Amino acid sequence: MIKIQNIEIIEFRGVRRLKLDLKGKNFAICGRNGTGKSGIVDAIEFVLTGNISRLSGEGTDRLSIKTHGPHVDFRDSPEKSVVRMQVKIPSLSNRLVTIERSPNSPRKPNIDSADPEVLTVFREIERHPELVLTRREIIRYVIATDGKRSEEVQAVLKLESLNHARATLLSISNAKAKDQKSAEQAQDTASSGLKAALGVQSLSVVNVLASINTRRTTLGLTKIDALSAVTTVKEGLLLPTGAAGNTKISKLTAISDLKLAIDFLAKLANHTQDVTFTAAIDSSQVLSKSVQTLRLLSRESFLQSGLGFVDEPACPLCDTPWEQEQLCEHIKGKLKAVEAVKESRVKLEQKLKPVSDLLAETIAAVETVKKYGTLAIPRIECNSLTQYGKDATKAQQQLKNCLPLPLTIAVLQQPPQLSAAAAAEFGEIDTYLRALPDPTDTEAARDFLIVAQERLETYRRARRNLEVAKSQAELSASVSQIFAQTSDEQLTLLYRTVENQFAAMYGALNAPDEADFAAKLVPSLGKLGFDVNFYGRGFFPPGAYHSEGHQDAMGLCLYLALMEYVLKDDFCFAVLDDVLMSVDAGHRRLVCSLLKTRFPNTQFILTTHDPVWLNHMRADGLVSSGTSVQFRSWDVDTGPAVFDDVEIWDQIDRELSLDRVPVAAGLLRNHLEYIAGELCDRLHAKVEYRLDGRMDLGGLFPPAMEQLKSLYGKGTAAANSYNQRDAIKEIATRSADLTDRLRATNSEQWQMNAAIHYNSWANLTVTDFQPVVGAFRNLISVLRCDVCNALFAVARDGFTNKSMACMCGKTSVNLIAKVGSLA
Amino acid sequence: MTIESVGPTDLVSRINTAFFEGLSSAGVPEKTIARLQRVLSTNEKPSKRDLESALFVEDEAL
Repeated sequence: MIKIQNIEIIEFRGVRRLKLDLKGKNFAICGRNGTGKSGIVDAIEFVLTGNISRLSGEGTDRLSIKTHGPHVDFRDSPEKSVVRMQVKIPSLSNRLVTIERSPNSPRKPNIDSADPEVLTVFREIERHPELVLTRREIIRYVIATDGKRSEEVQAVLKLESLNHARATLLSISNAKAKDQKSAEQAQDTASSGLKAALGVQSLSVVNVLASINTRRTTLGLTKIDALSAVTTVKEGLLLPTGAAGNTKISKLTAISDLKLAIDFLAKLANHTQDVTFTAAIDSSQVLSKSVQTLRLLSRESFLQSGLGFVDEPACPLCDTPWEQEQLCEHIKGKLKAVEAVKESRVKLEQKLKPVSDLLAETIAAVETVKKYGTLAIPRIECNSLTQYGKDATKAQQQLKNCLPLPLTIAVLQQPPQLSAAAAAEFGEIDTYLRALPDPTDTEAARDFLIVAQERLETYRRARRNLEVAKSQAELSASVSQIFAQTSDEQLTLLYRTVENQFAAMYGALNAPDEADFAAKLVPSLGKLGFDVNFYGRGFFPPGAYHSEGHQDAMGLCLYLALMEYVLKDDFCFAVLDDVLMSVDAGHRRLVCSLLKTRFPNTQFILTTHDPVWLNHMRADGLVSSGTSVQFRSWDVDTGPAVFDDVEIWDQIDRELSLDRVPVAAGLLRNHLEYIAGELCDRLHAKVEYRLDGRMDLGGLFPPAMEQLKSLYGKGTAAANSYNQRDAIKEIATRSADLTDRLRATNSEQWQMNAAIHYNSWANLTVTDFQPVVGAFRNLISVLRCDVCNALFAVARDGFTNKSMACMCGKTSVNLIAKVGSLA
Repeated sequence: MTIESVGPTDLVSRINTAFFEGLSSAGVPEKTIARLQRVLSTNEKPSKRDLESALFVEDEAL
C-alpha cells in the first residue's frame, strides 16, 4: 500500500487551495467544528477511491460528486476542482508516485506512472474504502445490530462476494427443492394417464406386458418379452391410425380416459363416504378450535411462504433492501419461534395430501376429456370445463396452503364438482365419443398401441425429469450446505483471532481497570453477535453498560484488529476522522501509545476538534508540530484558515516581533500550564488539591520541577547502590542541566518576587520578555526526549516509582535501589 | 467471485480449499467440482445461471 507524502487540494468541497505536507508520517488535523477538517478527509478519500462517502448512501440521492464535490463556487466548472496527492509505495522500494483526480471525471484518476505494479496498488486501495473512517462509521462496529455489524465487518473483510455465492447457492437449492415437488406431481399425473390407456391398476411389468401383448397378438406382431427404458410397444406397426369418422381419436382410449375422469369425479361426489376426506376434515376442525395454534400456524405459513420468495436482495413484501442470505436467516429465526406448531402442520398436511392428489388427478383427467372435445368434429366448446379446471386448481392450491383453515374445510366439505354447464359439456363429449364407430379389433389394437406408446413416453419423460430433479435438489442442497458450513468454520476461526487481538488492544487501553477484558464475536449466517465482558459480571452487548468513551475505544480497537488481520503489513495508512471524541484524556494517551507501538508502520491521519487531544498526540510523540495542522476558522470565500504558526515558539516570536507582549505572554503561560500539567501527571508530582479543579501555572509548575529533581535524586541513589558509574554521571549531568536552566527561568522566585511572577509578564517590554521566553524554551527541551519528543514519564508498580523514561527508551532512569543498600 | 482475490488471501484460500474438499468428500463428481472452481475463479459475483450451469450441465439434465 502507500504512505501519503503530501496533498494539494484545489477548489474542492470547502477548500479553496491548501497544501499539506504529511511527510509520510502520522498527521493530525485539529479545528473546531466547521473549520474544514472533514474537507481534508473527503479529499483524501476522493483522490484515492473516486468516492466521497458523505455524498453517497442513505439520504444523499440528490447529491453527486460531479456537482457537489467541487467548491460551491465551482459547481458548474468541476474540471477546475482537483485533488493531487504524492504517495510513497513502501512495497515498491519507496517509489514516489503522484495521483490526481477531479470531480469532473471521478472514475479516471491521472497517475504519473503506467507501471502495472503501481496501478495494482491504487486499485487495491480503491477496494478498501474503510481506510477512511469517521467516528459515526467506526462506532457502527460496536453498537450496530448483529446483522448490520456483520455487514460492516464483512465489508472490511471483503466477504461480499463470498456471501453472494453463498446466497446464490442457497437460492438454487430452494428452487431445486420446489422443482422436485413439481416433478413428483407430474410423474403421478403421467402414471394415471398411462394406467388409463393400458387399462391396468398398477404399472407392474407383468400388467403392462400383458396389456400390450394382447393388442400385439391381435395385430400379428411379435410379443414383447421384457420392458426396458427404450422399449417401443408399437414396434412393427406400420398402418395409419384412427377409426373411421375421426382419425385423431382412438375411441377405446378415449372411452378409457372418459371412464377415468368419471371415476375421479365420482370419488369427489361421494366424498362424504371417503375416509380420507373425513379424516382431513376432522383434523382441520380440531386444529381450527385452538386460536393460539391457528395464530402461530398463520404466522408460520406466512414465513414459510416468504422464505420461498426470497430470490433477490430485498424483502419480497415491502421491497426494503436486505442481503438475501441475511433475510433468509431473519425469517428462519422467526420460524424457529413458531416451531411448536410445526408438528401440527405436518400432520394436517399428511391428511390433506391424498385429497389434494385426488384433485390433481381429477383436474388432469378432465383436461384430457376436454381435449377430446376440441378434437371432435364439429368441435365441442368446453368453456365450462375450462372454468372447472380453474376452480379445481384453486381448491387444490388451498389444500396445499392449509390456511386459512375455514377455506380448507370448505373445500373438503364441498370439493369442486362439475357445474351443470360443465356436466353438459362433459356429457356432449361422452355422447360424441360413444357415437364414434366402433373400431375393428385390429383398429382398436393399433390405436391402443399408439396411445400407449405416447403415454409411455410421457411417463418415461416424467420419471426421468423426476430423477434429474431429485438429483439436482440433492446436489444443490449438499453444495449449498457445504459452502455455508466451510465458510462458517473458517470465519469462526477468523473471528477468534480478531476477538483476541481486539481484547488485547482494548485491555491495554483500559488497564488495570479492565486488564482481564474479554470479548466474543459470535458469527451466524448473516449476523455477527458482539458481546464484551463487563468487569467480570458477564458478557453483554457493548452498549449495555460501557460508557460512550469505552464504546469509542472499542470501535477503534475492533477496527484496528480487523485491519491488522486483513491487511497485515499492507496496513500502511488510515484516516480516522474524529473517532475518539468521547475517550477521556487518560485513555487518549494510551491510544497514542497503542497506535505508535502496535502499528509503527502505519501512517495515521487523525482529525479532532479538541486542541487538548492534539496536545496529547504531540506530547506523546504520535505527531509533531511539523506533522499537524490547526484550523482557526473557515469561511466560504477563503476555506479553512490554518494557524499561522503551529510551533508555539515561532508563534511567540512572531507576537514579540509585533510588539504584542501580552499575547506572547498568554501563549507562553498557556503552553507552560499544559506542559506542567502533563509533567505532574506523568511524574506523579504532588499538587495541592483544589475543589474547583482549576490548576494554574503557579500550582503546577513548581511541583513538577520539584518532582523531577527528586526523581533525579532517587535515580542517583539507585545508580550508586549498583555502582553504575556511567548512570551516576549521566544523571548528574541531567540534574545539573535542569537546575541551571530552571534557575534561568526565575520560576523558583515567583512566590518571593512579584516583579518576576508570570502574572507580570504581560507588563514587560519585548526586550525584557525575550530572555524569559528563551529560558523556558531552553528548560522545556530537557524535559522531553530529543529522539521521540515525548515528555518523560514514570513507570510504577503499585505506588512504587520504578523508572523514569521517554517513549522510545533512549532516556531511562532506574529509580529502585539495590536491595539491602542504604538508599 | 474470484475466491483467491477476495479479502485476505489466506482466509479465502482456506475457505476455497475446505469447500472443494467438502464437496469431494460428499461424493460430488470431480467434473462438477472443476466446473464450480472455474466459475468461482473467473467471476467475482457469478450469476445464478452461471452457478446452475456449473452444477448441472445440460447433458446431465437430459
